[in-house]
Amino acid sequence: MADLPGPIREFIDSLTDELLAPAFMLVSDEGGLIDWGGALSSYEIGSMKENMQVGDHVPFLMGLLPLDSGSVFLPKVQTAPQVFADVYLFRRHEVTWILLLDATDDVKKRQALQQRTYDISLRATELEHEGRTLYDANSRLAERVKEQTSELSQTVVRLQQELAESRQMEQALNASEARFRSLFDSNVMGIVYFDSFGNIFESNDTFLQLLGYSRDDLRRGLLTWNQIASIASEGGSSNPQETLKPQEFTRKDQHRISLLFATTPQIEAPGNRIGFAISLPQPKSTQASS
Amino acid sequence: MIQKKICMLGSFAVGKTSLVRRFVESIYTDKYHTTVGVKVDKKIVNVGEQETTLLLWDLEGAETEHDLRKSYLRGAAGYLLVADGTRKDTLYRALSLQLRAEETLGPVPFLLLLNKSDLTDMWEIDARERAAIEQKNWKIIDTSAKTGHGVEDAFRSLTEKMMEKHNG
Repeated sequence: MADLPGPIREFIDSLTDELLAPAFMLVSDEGGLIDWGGALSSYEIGSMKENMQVGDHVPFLMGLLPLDSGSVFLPKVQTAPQVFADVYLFRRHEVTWILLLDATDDVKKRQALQQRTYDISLRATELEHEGRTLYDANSRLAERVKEQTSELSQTVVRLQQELAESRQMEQALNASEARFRSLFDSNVMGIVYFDSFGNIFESNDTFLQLLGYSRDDLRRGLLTWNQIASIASEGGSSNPQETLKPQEFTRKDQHRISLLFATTPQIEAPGNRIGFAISLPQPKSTQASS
Repeated sequence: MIQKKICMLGSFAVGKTSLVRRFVESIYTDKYHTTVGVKVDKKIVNVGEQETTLLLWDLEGAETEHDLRKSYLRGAAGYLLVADGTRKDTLYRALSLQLRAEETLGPVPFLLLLNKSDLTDMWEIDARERAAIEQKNWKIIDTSAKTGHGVEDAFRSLTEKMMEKHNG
């Protein structure tokens, strides 16, 4: 600065006055105000009195005075709403000088930039939170899908087993039915289907022959349990009789005939029954009339 | 009248300004306004029969210990380290700022405030980390500048500690 010519120094001074609104306070080692000046009012610092304790009057100076040695720089101190100062404290000749230079424009510029930077940073943190939450939810979902897939595949295996067992049972049933059908058709014994009301709805030829009825009689409903059951044997239709026992029947020609007879429930329709009849050697009179 | 300087230290957007505003003016606003430089507020409190003026230095957020200006700390009788419970990194920054503060001020009273306790469903600081800090004999207070939870307690506890040291 010493090398600068007078006009330059004057220009710098006027520039400083215009842009930086310099203000000062001079403080004793006891903290008492000795002198003050400059643009203190632009920092909303007023009502100054000689010897007043500066630390009590200017809050940001509390605890800083007296300055032991050297200097202290407090950048961007808010002295009033929307007013900021760069504050310099330094010692010269046993007293402390306090210099304030306006920093309001600088703060405003920095504030806008800093606000944008921090807003972006906070948004990034929020997005990171959301990302983590989504990742956790996705992991939980994947785990659930895995569990449910495992349960589903176990269920499929179980169903396949049940289906195979069911097919085996069906095959066994079909074989059993085929065997029964061949027995029915072979006419080795008389076979008759009837319901709990005594209606006979199916019979093989042997049963019809034993009782003297034709297939046409059966179709026309002439063959009923009440017609063929003898008085002594009435109720035989409703009472289960699972072992072959002699039982008397009435033939179409009203002669009586004794047959070995047993019944069993029909598996697919438990209310219905199947009767099995085998002829017995008949007394002479019956044989003659048949 | 006793005057005590307290510095608010912590990372950006942890709620330092909001805590001061809640304590001094009982005001809270959701909108975030970054602090540049430092703002000094005053509040008179009574501890026992002693009336104390607290000068609250609300410092701009410091991301590293080197961002914290030693000149701002000068003359502080205590400080509040503030971390945002929903941002774990702010706790680590508070820990490093404490080293810087202690290096500058010596062993003055301080508390760790875990702020934003109204957002515990988003909390990132777990019991293990908390226990590790408490093992250092640090006092931790959960606060919410939004609801006011723990705010009065935090400033009062620190003032009591400072006054204990003052009375000595």
